[in-house]
Amino acid sequence: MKKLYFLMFFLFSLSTIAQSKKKEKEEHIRRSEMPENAIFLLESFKEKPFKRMSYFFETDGFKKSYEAKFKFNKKSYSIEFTKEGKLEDVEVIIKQNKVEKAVLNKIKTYLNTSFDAFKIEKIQQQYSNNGNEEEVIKKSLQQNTSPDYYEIVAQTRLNKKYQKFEFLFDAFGNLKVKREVATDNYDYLIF
Amino acid sequence: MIISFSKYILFIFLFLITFTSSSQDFTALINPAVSVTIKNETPWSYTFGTAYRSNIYQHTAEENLDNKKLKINSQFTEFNHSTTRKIGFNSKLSAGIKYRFVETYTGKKDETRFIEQYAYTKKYEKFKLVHRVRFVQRFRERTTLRGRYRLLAELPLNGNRVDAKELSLVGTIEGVWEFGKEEVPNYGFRYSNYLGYRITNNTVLNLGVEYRYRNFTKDAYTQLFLISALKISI
Repeated sequence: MKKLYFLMFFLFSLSTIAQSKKKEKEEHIRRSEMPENAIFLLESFKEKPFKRMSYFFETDGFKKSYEAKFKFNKKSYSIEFTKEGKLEDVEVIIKQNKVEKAVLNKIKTYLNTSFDAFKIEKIQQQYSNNGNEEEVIKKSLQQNTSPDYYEIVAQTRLNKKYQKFEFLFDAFGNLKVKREVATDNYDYLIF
Repeated sequence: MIISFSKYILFIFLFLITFTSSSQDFTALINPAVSVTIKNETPWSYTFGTAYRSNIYQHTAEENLDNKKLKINSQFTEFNHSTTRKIGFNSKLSAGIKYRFVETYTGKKDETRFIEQYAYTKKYEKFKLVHRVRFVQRFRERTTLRGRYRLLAELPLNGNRVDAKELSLVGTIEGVWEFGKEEVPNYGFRYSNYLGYRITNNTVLNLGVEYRYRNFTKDAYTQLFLISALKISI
């Protein structure tokens, strides 16, 4: 029996060591737990019909932030704030066909030349804080506005190696940041 | 999350009451299982597991006789292995073998199973969907062939994904077609509902129930499995 406990402990320890890749963690929180400044800013849009508003505390490595998520005009919005409640950016999930054709082609050309195969999982328009927080949110809520960045999550295959990356492209399709993210695990669901 | 969890417990309780008081033949079983999946960035992964099954309650509805008894009867201990190859961004092919030590507990012949499986997975904004088609060859006193299709959905109970120390709700529906040279084809339906608790990013504990409505075109009988499984990825 002792050997069995030892084996279980050993496997459990290995599974903990295996978590080497950076992974964001979201924790659902109440509105009252959000920073005051963030709530104050969101209040200025209370006349807008935001649906399914929910609040999260997010940790990404050492970075800690707050997020407000909601639906508006059938799109999913995520407004990210610093710990102090200062606006960081607004992200809006969009479909591929909503990205300007020339920009999408440039992004796909980069992915095609960098990998043997890829599959885009998610595209978000990103509006960064330029100093006027209210204006940034207003701009993101308008239809057909050009964002500052596109954040793209894609599965890739290179030399038979499968990886998942988060890419940040500017409004013209130039790569700014690339980082590997943990792939979704399905093994516990297929057996 | 607390409300969802209470509703889940209430649902399970009603579920158990419904089936333990039914007029059909009914058996409740426990089926604890542990599995370890070894994977890296190559398309290959390997799963090793063990499981144990035992009857814990039996209800036989005979004419003018209603037998209900708590009865602990071990059925088998199982060891299994599957090798999986990722064949696309969302698809996986697996081949596996299971060996069940049955004779020790029931006197019947031990069983060897060969399994071939195709799984298609898809992540939506909030939940994961998994389609699974499985072919099985069961070698025991007689040889039985099986075809199965299962649809699974996992819904996080906190946020848009299941992080460490968080719960998810998993529901599955599955159709089973069983046939062989020495038996009449039969059909079954399985429904399961369980909670998944992610202990760490790579370790999941499942607790819940699976209801099986078996051989429903002929002599139908029902089984209720209490699911408990520890799944580790390394």
